[in-house]
Amino acid sequence: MAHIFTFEWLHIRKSGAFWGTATVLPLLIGFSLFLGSERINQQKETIAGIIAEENAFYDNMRTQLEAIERGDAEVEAWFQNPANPLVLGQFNQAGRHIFLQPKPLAPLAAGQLDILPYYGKVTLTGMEPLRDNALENPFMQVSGSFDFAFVLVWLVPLFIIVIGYNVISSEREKGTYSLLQSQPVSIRSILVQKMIFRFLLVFGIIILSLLVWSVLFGIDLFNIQGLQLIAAISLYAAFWFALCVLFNLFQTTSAVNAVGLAGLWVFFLLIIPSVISLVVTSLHPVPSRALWITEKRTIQQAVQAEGDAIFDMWVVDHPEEFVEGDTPQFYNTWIRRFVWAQATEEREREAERQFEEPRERQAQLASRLRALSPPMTLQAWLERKAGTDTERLRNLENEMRSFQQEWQEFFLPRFQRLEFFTSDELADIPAPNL
Amino acid sequence: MNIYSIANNQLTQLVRDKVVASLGLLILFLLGVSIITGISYYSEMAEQHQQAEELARIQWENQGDKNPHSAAHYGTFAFKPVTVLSVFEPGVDRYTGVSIFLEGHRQNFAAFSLAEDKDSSRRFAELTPAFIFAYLFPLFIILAGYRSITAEKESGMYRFLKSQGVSSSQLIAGKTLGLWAVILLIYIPFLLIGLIFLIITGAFGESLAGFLLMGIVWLLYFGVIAHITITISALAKSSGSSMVVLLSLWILSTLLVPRLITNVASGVHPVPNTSEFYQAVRTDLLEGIDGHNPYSEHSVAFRDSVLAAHGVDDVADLPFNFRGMMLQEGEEFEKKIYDHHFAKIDEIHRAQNRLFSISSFLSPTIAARMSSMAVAGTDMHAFNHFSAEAEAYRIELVRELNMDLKINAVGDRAAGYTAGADFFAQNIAFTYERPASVFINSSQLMPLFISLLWFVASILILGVAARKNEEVQ
Repeated sequence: MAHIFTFEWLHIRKSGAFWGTATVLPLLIGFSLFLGSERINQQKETIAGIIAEENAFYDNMRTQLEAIERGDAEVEAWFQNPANPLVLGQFNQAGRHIFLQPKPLAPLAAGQLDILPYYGKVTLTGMEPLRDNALENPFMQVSGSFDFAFVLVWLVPLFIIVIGYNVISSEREKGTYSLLQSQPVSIRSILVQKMIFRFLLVFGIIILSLLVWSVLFGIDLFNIQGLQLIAAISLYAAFWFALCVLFNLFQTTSAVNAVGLAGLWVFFLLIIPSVISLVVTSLHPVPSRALWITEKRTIQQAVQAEGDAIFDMWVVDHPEEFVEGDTPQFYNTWIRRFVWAQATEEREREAERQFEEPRERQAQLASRLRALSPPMTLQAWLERKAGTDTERLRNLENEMRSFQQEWQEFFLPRFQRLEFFTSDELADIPAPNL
Repeated sequence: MNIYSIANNQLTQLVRDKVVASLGLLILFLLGVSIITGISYYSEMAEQHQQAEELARIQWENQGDKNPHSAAHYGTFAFKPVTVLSVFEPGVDRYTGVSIFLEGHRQNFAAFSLAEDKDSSRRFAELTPAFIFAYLFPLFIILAGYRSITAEKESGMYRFLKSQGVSSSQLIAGKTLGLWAVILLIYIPFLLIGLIFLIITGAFGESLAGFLLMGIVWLLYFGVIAHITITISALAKSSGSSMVVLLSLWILSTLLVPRLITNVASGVHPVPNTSEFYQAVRTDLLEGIDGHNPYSEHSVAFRDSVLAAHGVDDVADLPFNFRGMMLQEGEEFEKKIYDHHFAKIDEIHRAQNRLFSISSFLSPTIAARMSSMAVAGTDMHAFNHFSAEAEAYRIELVRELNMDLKINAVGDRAAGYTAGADFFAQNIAFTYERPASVFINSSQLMPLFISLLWFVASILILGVAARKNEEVQ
């Protein structure tokens, strides 16, 4: 084995394909990781900025309230009163942002982050996922972004093909095949060992550059996740080398091998995915949002039409949560709005099902069909590890909903009983766990 | 004469080559499937959008008696048109929102793109004619042509042909024509299917020009690939190295350059995130009249100026409803601010697209994609036209509402003034119409021009390759 490795090294260091791989691949990996870490830094900056703004708003409210309590300031209008639950929980800048924090491996895969939001704002009635990238040029989304996942899933197999397609066939073409045959070792074991050597070279180049660049760009890979990543890379590389071995076993020419392997690459990376996406969307079509928008409006109108009845029913059910008699105008307006907002939300979630259900079925079917294509499987795995997969990003809505409940439980009873806040209580305003 | 027999021979060989023939048939099959599924998808979407449009209008007209300005807050929707040509070239269609909410005081982004609701496997590849043409078809051309000259050399046929008096230029010309014939063998059936489809959907008249132009754009692209393939085959030492070089070029053009430019463009011309954007808008809005806050400094100044102009002391003495006037004044101010900020975003997108255009000097795929989107009317420019029309409609509708308040909510009617179904039914309705079947502005000419440039350049390098081959022999 050591023998073959030595000769392979002497042989391969003369090959342009090897040096090409050894220079281009590390550069591509480095650039992709650089872009990835930039993306994450920006994301972290956005998050920090929003949290700072949020804190500044509540600090300001508290200072104002303290001044009012001391008698140094006066309340000009009810909607400017920092003790009012509506001012603290619903209006303008009030509310909390919920974030899906970037995971440690997030720089590796941009995933669906250019399409789905990773944070959103929660108020008493509002739950708006903020599309940070709503202003992005859609042409960019069409081409997709350059990340480590792309280099690994799409480009690494091509480097492997270039290095492995002619291991035996070239021996045959150069006439050295009979020399190999005259050796005491079988051709197959020579082929396998040659391939193992090449596999180790390529694998080494990838891992080494991955580790070096990661340290440089502050991506932490020295943990269990890093190990998993390395294992996944080795499996993926092994898969493509195995295909190269397979082609070299047949008595085919280098050109046929190259075409065949490139064909498999096209098959796994372009044809299978395009057929899968076609099958998935045709079997479980998601209707256009256009109709849903008008449907939502119908719901809002229905709630509005039944408004008084809905509200009266609520009062009957929740007598302790309603102050009767001579209450301020804003109380009468907003107590109704909250009841209606709740009724609307319940009905809208029902309507939302027509999207959720086919979407979930699409996702289930796609995840089963993905097994047909190792590149798709790896891509999905990387996105999951990076926390940029569709499933996690869609979960933002659930996280927002559960926080909204907490938010409402804090503010609504106080509003319903018309009990304003004191400056001390402002410290207890709920915040999401970071 | 020689050229045609070479071309003829090349065509026969390729058609008889099992790998080439089966790949060609596979592509034709995929094209067929993509068109058929595209048609059903298109008609479903078109129907849903039309329904939504009608519903939105009914909802507007039946919103009940209310203050016209409440109606402005209630708002209505504009729905993005679904175009037939998006079946062939979806462009940015999946990634732009399907609808814009039109309301008083603010301009909204289009919301709910199809991409948000779709499974992510589509991001690998989506089976549409444009995808097949941009990615798979070049591979087919490369496969059909990479050996065209090298094989002749490897088999010794080259010398034989030479001795028969065939020049390198003739050989290359013949091979090129042969490759073109194979391309057309697949492409012409596709064009025919496409035309039949246009007739079936009844969009023949309005879409024909766009369809044909798109057809030409892709044909130019195929020509570029074919010429490069023959050139490399003429210059390569072996079929193997010809294959490797051509595949590398393919990867550069279809995968690497587009993705790299995406990141470069967003790095060089960054788009502000939504919160920054709204923050900037908010800051500017504070500088002007807030139609809802009569106490703000600007509102007070405006009120005083109006009172002075009419020589009265109280807004109640004005011959019109002051609130209606102030709301309209505020609306116009707000529009200016929004227009200003939206224009900035648009400028950034243009700068990014310019980078893409420039990068298409490295990647004919980008040039072809941008051109085909432009002529199919599925690019950003077409979408912006829709947004602009929707915005023009919004401001006109809000003006109608504020004017009604201003003119009619006077005297005894001022308190609790409402407008009814009659009024809302009279309000202008939104129907989007594209200005022309193909509308292209100057910024979109660049990719078209570069596509053409690539085509001419690829013919020139064929000539160079021929001369070089002549010298070598």
